[in-house]
Amino acid sequence: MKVQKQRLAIITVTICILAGLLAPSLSNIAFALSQNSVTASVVVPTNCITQLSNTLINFGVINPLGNAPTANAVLDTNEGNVAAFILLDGTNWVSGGNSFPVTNTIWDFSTHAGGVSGNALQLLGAVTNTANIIGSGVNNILYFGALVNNGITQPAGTYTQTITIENEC
Amino acid sequence: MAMTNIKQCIALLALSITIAAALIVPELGGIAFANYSNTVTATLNVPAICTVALSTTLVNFGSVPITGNAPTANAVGDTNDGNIASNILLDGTNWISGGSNFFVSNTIWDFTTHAGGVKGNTLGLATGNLVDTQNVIGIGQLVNLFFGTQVPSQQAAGTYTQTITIENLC
Repeated sequence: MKVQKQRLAIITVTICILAGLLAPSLSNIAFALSQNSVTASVVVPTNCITQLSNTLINFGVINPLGNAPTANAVLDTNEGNVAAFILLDGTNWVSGGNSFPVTNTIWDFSTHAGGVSGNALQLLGAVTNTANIIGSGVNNILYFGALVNNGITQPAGTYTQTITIENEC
Repeated sequence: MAMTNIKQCIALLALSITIAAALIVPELGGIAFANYSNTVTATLNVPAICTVALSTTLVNFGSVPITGNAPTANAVGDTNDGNIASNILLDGTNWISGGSNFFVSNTIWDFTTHAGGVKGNTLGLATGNLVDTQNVIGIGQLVNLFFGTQVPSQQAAGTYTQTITIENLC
């Protein structure tokens, strides 16, 4: 026990002496500031991102030869940094083995609550340029309606169609 | 010695960042950001239904003297534009002209024309129970109904009207 206390005392003294020597030495060191610069760069590309208010339209029940007025809105917002043209196309309406043409979907930039006025949607691959320019941060509303053929070509069923809305810039 | 190492490390780091930036910039510049598209899924439900589309909603029998008739030859085309077949049902109202009238049953109908007279079936009174003609009209099919009428004796002069109801039931 006595030996351990003596060793501890020696270690303590040694540390104190080293600290006393080191402290003045560090204070004499001249820390020169060394600077360099980094040039960072980033390219923000032009884009015209399409943001849609909704990705589902339910036209409800439409009898043969009936229609859903051109009044179902989809808001297209250009979240990008440049203006763009709005392009449209779609697929044929399909229900199992039954179908009817994409052109039975009618669209316009204004609503027609009374009926299906406007432009016929074109088949996928035949994209239609609406010639409507949507500015950066601006939104445009597209209204969709649909026509159902007579019963000869239009058996009962739940039909679906995919409409593609594209901002081109 | 330690300070020298730190300086070398900083210099090396700066060089690395510069090289990385030099590589990234042309890479981004080469990307073509052009078209952005999104899709909307549209749905609609076409119900099983039979419809009635009539070729005309007016039949003018012209001037018919008392005890005379208009032959069963005035056509009304009934088209079922629905997607299932149906039966054709019929009824009508009595003929009325002001306070005068005569019976609905004076109207005669058939699925074939009878230019020579009033042959066929008598129209039943509209009571909410239309008469089933037992004639099936298919999907997209056109069926012609021919109407005629006969005027009773001692019928007061006047312009009489009647409403005929044609229903496709499915």
